[in-house]
Amino acid sequence: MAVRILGSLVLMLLLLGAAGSARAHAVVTGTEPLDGTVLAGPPSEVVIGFNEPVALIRAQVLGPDGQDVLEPDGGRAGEDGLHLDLPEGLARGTYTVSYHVVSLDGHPVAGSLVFSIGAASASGSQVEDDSAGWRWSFVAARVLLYLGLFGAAGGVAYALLVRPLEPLREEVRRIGSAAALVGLAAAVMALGLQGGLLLGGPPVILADPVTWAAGLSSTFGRAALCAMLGLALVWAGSRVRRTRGADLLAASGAVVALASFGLSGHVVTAGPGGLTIPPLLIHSTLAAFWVGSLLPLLRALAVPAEGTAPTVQRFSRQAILAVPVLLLAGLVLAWIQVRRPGALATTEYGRILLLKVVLVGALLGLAALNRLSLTPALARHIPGAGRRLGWSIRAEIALVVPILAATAALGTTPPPRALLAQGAPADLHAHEEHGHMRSERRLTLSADGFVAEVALAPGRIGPNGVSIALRDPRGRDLDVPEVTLRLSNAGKGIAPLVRPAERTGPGLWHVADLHLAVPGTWTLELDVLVSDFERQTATADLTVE
Amino acid sequence: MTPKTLALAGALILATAGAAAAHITLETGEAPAGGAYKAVLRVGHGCEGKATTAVRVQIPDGVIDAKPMPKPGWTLETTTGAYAEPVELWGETLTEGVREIAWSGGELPDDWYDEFTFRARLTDGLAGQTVYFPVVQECGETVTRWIGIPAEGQDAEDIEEPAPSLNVTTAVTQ
Repeated sequence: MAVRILGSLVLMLLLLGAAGSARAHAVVTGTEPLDGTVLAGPPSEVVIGFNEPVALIRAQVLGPDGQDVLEPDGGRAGEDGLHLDLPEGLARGTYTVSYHVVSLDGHPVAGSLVFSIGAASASGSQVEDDSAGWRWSFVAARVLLYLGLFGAAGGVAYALLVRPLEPLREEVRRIGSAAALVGLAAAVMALGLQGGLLLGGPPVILADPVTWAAGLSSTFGRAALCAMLGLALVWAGSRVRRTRGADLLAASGAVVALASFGLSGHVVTAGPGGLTIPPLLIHSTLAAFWVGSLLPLLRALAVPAEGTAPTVQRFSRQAILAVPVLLLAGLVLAWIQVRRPGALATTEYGRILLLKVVLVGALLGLAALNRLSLTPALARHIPGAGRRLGWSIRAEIALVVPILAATAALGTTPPPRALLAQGAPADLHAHEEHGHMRSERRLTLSADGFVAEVALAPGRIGPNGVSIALRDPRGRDLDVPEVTLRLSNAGKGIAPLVRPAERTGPGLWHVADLHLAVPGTWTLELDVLVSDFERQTATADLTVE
Repeated sequence: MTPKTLALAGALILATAGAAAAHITLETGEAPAGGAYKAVLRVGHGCEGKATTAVRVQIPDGVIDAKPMPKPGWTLETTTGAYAEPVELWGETLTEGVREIAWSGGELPDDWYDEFTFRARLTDGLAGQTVYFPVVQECGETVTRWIGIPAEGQDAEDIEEPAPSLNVTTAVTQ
């Protein structure tokens, strides 16, 4: 049995080996005009600077009369961020700018700023911030999805590890298939809500296929599809008459469902090179085992039978092994995202994480009570022990829901790590990570004097942003005076598009608004001025869809 | 693919095409190894229409004992550094020498021509090779770097901003 579980874990890691890393969330580095400024005359444009390339989703500039003054094609991601061209002859008064962009890791970043021409209007125009509604709906769908995934995959793990006797075994399968259905429905809902979160707008945009396509093409879309496949397998394996094949089907579904955790989210994008994914998978797999065991345990207590006490004891013995690993993996993940203890108190991410830690602490208290007192009492057939344990497990379930809500909320909050500019360590060989649903392409290029990590987002035809992280061959940040990017498409007869990169930090460069007109294989050349008199070039091919 | 995108792509292609018109080059493109070489850098234009305010040249490995010729109206500076390997000259072993020469503070309008001169010795080891003298041309804030060196198998004509080059021939037997 242990061998099979280990095998599943290895398979899961292999499945995810291809999953790559992306940079952190985009962070606004400055705006022109500044928020709250009163200008003497009308500006010709609004510029919002970002620390990395972004793709514009939607922007508006509401004038004093509440009308959007931004031309339909007036917004573009430019050299130094987002540019919103304003028409001439703007009236005096207060203007409200709002923007929705997508950062490299596929997460939406929205913001707004207010400026006035001449003097502030008595009542400044209001931009409806609709992102909060989308965000919390998405979080709610994520919680349901977690419950479905944990219930289904955890139920399978419970059946395999705790080995309940019939008829409880059949009961576990029913719970698993019901959880799989909940998860499937939640995954579908979450796809639409993710699209809404990306695009922004009123709830009616859920009726627009574009919204769903946006959700599907995000990194979450990939994870949701993987989860749905896994859940469907668990459901199928749990519905048919129980055979060895059906069990295998459900087990493989559980593996696929849990693998979805490695396909999206901050931890996946934290890099380097997917190293952060194993602790994430260990954390989510063990959490699934724990959470998925709660309902089956409750059922076992509700149907008192000869095998109940040994079953609960088996779970207790296994859980005591799982919990330290679960916590350790959680600590590693928290460290990856937070980095500085101070950020726990000063950032929203840190505060949500602290809330989760407190809730988990309470959950551990209950688990300790069950382990040390209630389960032994049940084994000694002390009257009322089963009832007390049942209530304790209900309390655990009640705690699990807010813990999962905090987890889902963390997924939509920029981690403190995003505020630290950091590059992923580079691979010495040029390679391309193909990912059909990815919203970016990553390449590693190298020459004698440098190694460059290049990320092209979204890596499709149309406007693209490119971020470049330079290292010297020993892996240290490499600060150079000049970096130039050339993209050519020999097959389509397109001579190099030459774009100087803009320095965004030590060893960090970006090129915004790079238009790739046709799909196909493009040749990317990176010219790096490694010294005043020496320019080195690295070349790689890139497939643009 | 919008017309705007096409226009942008077209403009970029055109912008990169007209670069190869005139370069900074060496007056004498060929010299024998083992002897002195008078290098004259010919500067026929500024950077994108702007007047040249500084010319800096890097002395490649194997080229030793470099001595710049002062130029009225320009401040002359040299940077000394280690040679790639010690060389014998007039019975002495030289381990370092001038590796970079900079003429700065002048003003050479785009429409005028001028020359920047230095003298150096070509070591015997350079025989049969092409050596490159990377030049940085500064025009106020704008900089043109004549530092392109063709990679193996690459046509020198394909380099947009090539470094001035010198073919070193076999030493003349004395």
